[in-house]
Amino acid sequence: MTTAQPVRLRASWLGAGVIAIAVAFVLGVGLGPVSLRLDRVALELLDHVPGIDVESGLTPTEAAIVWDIRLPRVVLGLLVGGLLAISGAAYQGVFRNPLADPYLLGIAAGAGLGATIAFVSGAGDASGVFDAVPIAAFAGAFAAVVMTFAVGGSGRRGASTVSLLLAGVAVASFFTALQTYVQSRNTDTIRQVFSWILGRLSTSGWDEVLLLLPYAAVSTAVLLWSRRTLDVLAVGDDEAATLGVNAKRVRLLVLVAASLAAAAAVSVSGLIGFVGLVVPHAVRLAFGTSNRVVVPLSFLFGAAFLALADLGARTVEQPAELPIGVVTAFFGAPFFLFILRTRAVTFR
Amino acid sequence: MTTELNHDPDATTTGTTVAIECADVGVRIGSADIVEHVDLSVAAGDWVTVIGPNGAGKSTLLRALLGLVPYTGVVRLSGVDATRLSPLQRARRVAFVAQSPVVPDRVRVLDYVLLGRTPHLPRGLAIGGDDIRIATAVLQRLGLETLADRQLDTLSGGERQRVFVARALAQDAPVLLLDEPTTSLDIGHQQEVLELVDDLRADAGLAVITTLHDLTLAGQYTDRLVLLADGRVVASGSPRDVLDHELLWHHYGAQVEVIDDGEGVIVIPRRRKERS
Repeated sequence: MTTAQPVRLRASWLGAGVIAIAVAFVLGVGLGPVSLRLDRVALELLDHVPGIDVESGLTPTEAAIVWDIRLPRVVLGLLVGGLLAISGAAYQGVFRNPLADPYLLGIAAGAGLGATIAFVSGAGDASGVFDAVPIAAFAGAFAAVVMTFAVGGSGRRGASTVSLLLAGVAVASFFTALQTYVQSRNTDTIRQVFSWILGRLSTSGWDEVLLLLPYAAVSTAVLLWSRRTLDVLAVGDDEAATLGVNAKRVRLLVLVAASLAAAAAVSVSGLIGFVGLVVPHAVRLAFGTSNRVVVPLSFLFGAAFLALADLGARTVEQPAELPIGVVTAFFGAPFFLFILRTRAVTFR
Repeated sequence: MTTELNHDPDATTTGTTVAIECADVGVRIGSADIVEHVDLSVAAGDWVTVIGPNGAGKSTLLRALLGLVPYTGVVRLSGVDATRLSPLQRARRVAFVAQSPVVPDRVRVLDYVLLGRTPHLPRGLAIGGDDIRIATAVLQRLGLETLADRQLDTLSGGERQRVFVARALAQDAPVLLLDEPTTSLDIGHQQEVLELVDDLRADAGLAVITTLHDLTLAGQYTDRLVLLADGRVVASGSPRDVLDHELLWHHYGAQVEVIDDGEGVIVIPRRRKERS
């Protein structure tokens, strides 16, 4: 008899995620309005690895396109996708609800209000990291989540999942109402607001990436560290307590980290839907339901998915750009339905 | 080891260790006293069953012993006041099988049983070879080794109940609490699970507390019964003392016949009125 082995993150699964990212990376950097040879792009990237010195054959202009335009955008796509997906995986784990997504606790509505105010006031034109839009969006998202916790987590039983969810719905409605009010009084900026709400990745050099990096590092570290505890939470609060785990504390820690990740991502990218929902489900379908596996792999595959979606967004209608949220929904929604059907057949 | 235990001020004079005891425990929820003035003491290798009508406070008493609800009075685990233990320390001393445990989505049997090792893991992350060995040994002990790779939600009711017990055993705690372990099992699996608990009690010297609805099973398997009514202990002792016709009528409102067949006590319900 072969002894059964516990579920764990296999090296081959991690490898698959890394390969997916590498493919998205090379394609994302190589393809665009100016066509560059993929082998030369690869050599150019390799040349910058310390200790390796190769000649890529790219002209200085082409090299600048790689380093100052495409690379920051691909890296930003990877980061935003990874953050949205890991955040969605964490939300689904905490709420034990497959429909939970990173925008559940009011982040989208809060960020929407913040960004709308920035556009309307003329403070922001959505270019550059020190523009008011990402800052206002982050502040709005942050305010919405804090309000959700203050309302939903202050009951006698502490932050029960149901009261948090209901508070999230109420807070989101409230912020959406404010956002609609502000927007309808200032119809001249409706186009900008609309484009932001559909989500887009635009970069001015490396500023956005650098802005996102500290939030990404902290929140990802916390979520990776909590992944086994999330598995314990799956048996319910009381039983988790008899195993020595304080469910409320874990849930708060994970939700704060996941909300931070989502708010940071939203502040630079607008509202990109479906990544936080589809990617963790696809990972569960392929690799199993343990959070030890789902949380890290969601980051890797979410990163690759969004970088590829962005590639589609900027190449399909060249030189115009589609909003990236349109691309993620166009591919994400049918795929989600496919997952639902597969699960329904196999597991029910 | 035994002599050491005898010097323990919390050990009883007979030399057996009191694994869990409570003194004057009460639970108040809102303005209602659910449990009042309960004293209970269970030594290693003993099995006490708490019986009582619906709403008597049986499950709440277990929840107080586990520290899941605020309580008054004192609960001691191996002589130490439970409020002075960290959640992890407490989890290393008491394991619990809930009445209908939540089954995580598509979890495999081995992974579920390994959750029982949580209180022993350093900061919750790495499962070591020791943990896998312990979980595998528990699965073998319970005859579940061939099911280790199966998904828990595909097993039968009796198999599932054994897996729930396996998770608690993997916790490696001296005290095992089971809330209605025979719920939703057929009569054969009820006996199977209770026999298993009895073997574990005898082999591993576990102190066991269960709640049970079935009075005959309670009387046949356990040494000591505690009858709880309106949150108070109204009778306690051997099955012959507690499973008394008058007591059961008074507290359950049940018309029963109690038969002592020399091996154990059997409680048979009787219809109250003859059909005319």
